[in-house]
Amino acid sequence: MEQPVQGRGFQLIVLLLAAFLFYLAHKLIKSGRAAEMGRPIHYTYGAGGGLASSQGPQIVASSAILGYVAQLCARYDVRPIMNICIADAIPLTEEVLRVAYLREGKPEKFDPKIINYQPGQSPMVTAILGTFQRERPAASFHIGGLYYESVVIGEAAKFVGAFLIAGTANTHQLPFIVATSDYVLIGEELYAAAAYIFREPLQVASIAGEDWMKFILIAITLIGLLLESVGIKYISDLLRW
Amino acid sequence: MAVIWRRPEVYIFITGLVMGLSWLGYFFEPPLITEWVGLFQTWATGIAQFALALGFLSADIVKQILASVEAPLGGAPMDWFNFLWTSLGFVLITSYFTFTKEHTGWYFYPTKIGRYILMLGLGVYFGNTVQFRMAMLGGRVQYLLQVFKIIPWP
Repeated sequence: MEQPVQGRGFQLIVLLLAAFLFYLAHKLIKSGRAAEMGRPIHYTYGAGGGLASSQGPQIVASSAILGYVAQLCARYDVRPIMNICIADAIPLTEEVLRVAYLREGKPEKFDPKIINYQPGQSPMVTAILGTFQRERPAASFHIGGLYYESVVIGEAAKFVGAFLIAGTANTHQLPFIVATSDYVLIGEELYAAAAYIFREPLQVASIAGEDWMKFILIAITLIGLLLESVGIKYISDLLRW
Repeated sequence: MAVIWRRPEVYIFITGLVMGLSWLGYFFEPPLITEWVGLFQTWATGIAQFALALGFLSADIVKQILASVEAPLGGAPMDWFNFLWTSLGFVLITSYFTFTKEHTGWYFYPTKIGRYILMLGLGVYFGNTVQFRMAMLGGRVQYLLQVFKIIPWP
């Protein structure tokens, strides 16, 4: 069945907001920050729940970005290090990394031991701090369902001079990643970035559908704002109808 | 009593109730969960999801827009400033989170301003959290100073 968005010039998706991660990750590794420094990169999903929890979509979206980052790592022989505390995300992560190395024609370079599992939020944060001190990664990505680890990882990354890219849809952590990270994916940008990387028609269609709905809501709000300001209550009556 | 049966939510409630009770059939021997019951439960779950979607639409979209467009009752300048700040902030920040239209040309400035307003809000959030932690630290330090009799107890 043909997707409703096909053929509508939907090539501009996420150009300014989500593509910056795409571009930056590419620039970061291609320009050789990690490769030239001979240092690994670090990646974590954060502590948020399991794949079946409300944080699950963020982890799945993050895994798409991980796939892209891992592909660049494989291309430029940069070692990725993963610290995760979500047990059911381990097979997903392993498969994403394996496919990334396979795509670059280096399946033998993939080592499942780069995925470190810690059974909880605080053990994971402690492990990440230790990893930063021992490995001193050139860049760190923490993208997914973040909780208090966001600010701790941010501080630790700055301490070892790691370039930091963060993203979450958890509104309570947004101020902290904005304050501590070099580049951020705010809220829905995370999903848009994943759709941009995956190019999966269903994901792209969902972002496009939401966008059109947003334009309609913006129009309703603006018209309502103008009319209500002069005392015409047409829009509020309509919304209450 | 007859009035109740005219209200549609009663039927939604009864549907949910029957769906929940039908699971009790699982404990019978042989289990009373048949293909027809399964189909009914799927249908009823669909209704529940629809009701959930309606709740989301009401709380997160309709009421949000209502709160943004309704002019303040009082005529004080500060009320109007708050009204315009909130409403325009909502519109501009929402425009920042659109991905199908490139943020260039005439669309550049609304999204840029929306981003600034968003950053301002996040900065306030961050500052508020830091202030809260500092207040907690102040309380602990005061307590310790009192314990060591450096400052008197109140």
